[in-house]
Amino acid sequence: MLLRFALSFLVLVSSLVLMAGHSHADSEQAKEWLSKMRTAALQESYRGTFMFSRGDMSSSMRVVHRFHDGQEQERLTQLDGEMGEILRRGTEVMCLVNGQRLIQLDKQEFSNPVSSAFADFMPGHDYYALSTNGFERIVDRSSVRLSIKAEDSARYSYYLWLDQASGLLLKSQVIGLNGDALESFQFTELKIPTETDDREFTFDVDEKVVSHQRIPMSDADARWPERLVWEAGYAPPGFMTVDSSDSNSNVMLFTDGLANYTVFVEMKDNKVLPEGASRVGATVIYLTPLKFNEREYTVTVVGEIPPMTAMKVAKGVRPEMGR
Amino acid sequence: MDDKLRESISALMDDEANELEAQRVLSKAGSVELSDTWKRYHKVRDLMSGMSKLPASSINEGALQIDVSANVAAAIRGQALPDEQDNARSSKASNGSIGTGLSEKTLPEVGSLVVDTDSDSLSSWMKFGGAIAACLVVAVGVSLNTNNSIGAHSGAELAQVSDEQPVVNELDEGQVHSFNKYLLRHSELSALKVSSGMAPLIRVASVNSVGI
Repeated sequence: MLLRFALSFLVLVSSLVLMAGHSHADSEQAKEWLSKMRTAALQESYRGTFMFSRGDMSSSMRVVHRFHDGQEQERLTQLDGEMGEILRRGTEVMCLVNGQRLIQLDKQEFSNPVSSAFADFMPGHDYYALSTNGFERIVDRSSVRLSIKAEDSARYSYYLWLDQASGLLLKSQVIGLNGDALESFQFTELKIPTETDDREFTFDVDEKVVSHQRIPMSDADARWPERLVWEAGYAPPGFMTVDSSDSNSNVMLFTDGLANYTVFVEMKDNKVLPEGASRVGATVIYLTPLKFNEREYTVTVVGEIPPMTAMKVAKGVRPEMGR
Repeated sequence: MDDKLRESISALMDDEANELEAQRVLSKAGSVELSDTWKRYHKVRDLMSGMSKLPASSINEGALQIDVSANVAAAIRGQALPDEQDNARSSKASNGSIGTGLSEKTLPEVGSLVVDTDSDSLSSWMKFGGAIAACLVVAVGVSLNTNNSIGAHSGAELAQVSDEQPVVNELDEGQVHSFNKYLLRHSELSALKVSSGMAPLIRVASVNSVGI
């Protein structure tokens, strides 16, 4: 009887060790695929069309991408509704709206050490469980399916389908806390590798109708007290702040390697947005008022995180004087 | 009926449903199968807890027609229920979990909701009603402005319900425009400082499709 019990125990322990070993190996394999995906996203030359859905909205876009002269170049063209295009050459990002309005986005340098550190950042094992889930045919190509399952309710989970040959992302879904897809992306046509032309990476627009704009957002208010610094008193486990160049730290970006959120602190004005949470697809925005030294501010959190997480982050923002 | 829907119904009954689960159930509100499942779950629960107070004849005759709109409206206002007022019942059940943050502006949207049940478990109805009210706000696209915001919890209210999911507002066109400016800046920062992939830029492009 004792021997039988001991043998059963031994078999059970062996099974658990084997399962743990298999799980670890699978997780490592998934990490390798993620690494391959990041390299492919940067260095592959490809062109195709894809569908992007978030909430009730969906749109089809065309993309052409290449790695040229040491920099990543990409052009996204909106195929539905109003004509819109985004052109990225390295750190330069421009939006062309309806063929007439050119918007130049902030130009930032990637050379700062924090950003560089995130170049190979992987989702932490403590916060996501990585695994491979077999192979599927997507856009007439064999793909491997990765599961990146959130280990807590502070973040969303992801499914990724990667091209087996190149590692390029062919399809993705952001999965909400109840298992529904909140946001999805999928190529419907794809060619890799592909030949590209320099003209594809420039905007051919009439200079007379072009206006250069910067997005008028979240400038620190001149009326703010000197040495007023904002800090996020709460960040979900695993989220780290990324360098903020905005004065008075009134814009703060956080990431856990997959999900990002941004915290804005502004002087209160007549915002049209309601306080509380609003959402489009996987992106949530949470507004809450904050009063400090008789002045009123608005804290806004925007990101691909659950509304509850955004609320906790927004409520945790606090001022700090005297640095 | 799939397992997800069954789980959502169960979560609603246990007052553990989030807004999407409630929405999933609401989307099948006209389904006979859903109605039957809802009744069956209540019967089982009532039998297990000995809560069934309906006369046997009512059960045998099938479902009662109960208009929960008044209850939902009362829950939203945080007022005592009509039944409670009439029967001087305890007001404990009026603490609808999700409806407490909703303003009266949403009331017309829930005015005609009628659901079948054969249980008079008032607290269950309030839980269901509160959840339905919350997801109706999402489903019917209630237009809002700053002055009648449905999500305008005070800090004190949020502190009390910190373990509950906040109500998610549905935005009108003007608000989407404002939302997109934040989204654009967030996507811009994400694209330039964190991600080398397309996702942030795709989000920007999708913003362009509705105008910035």
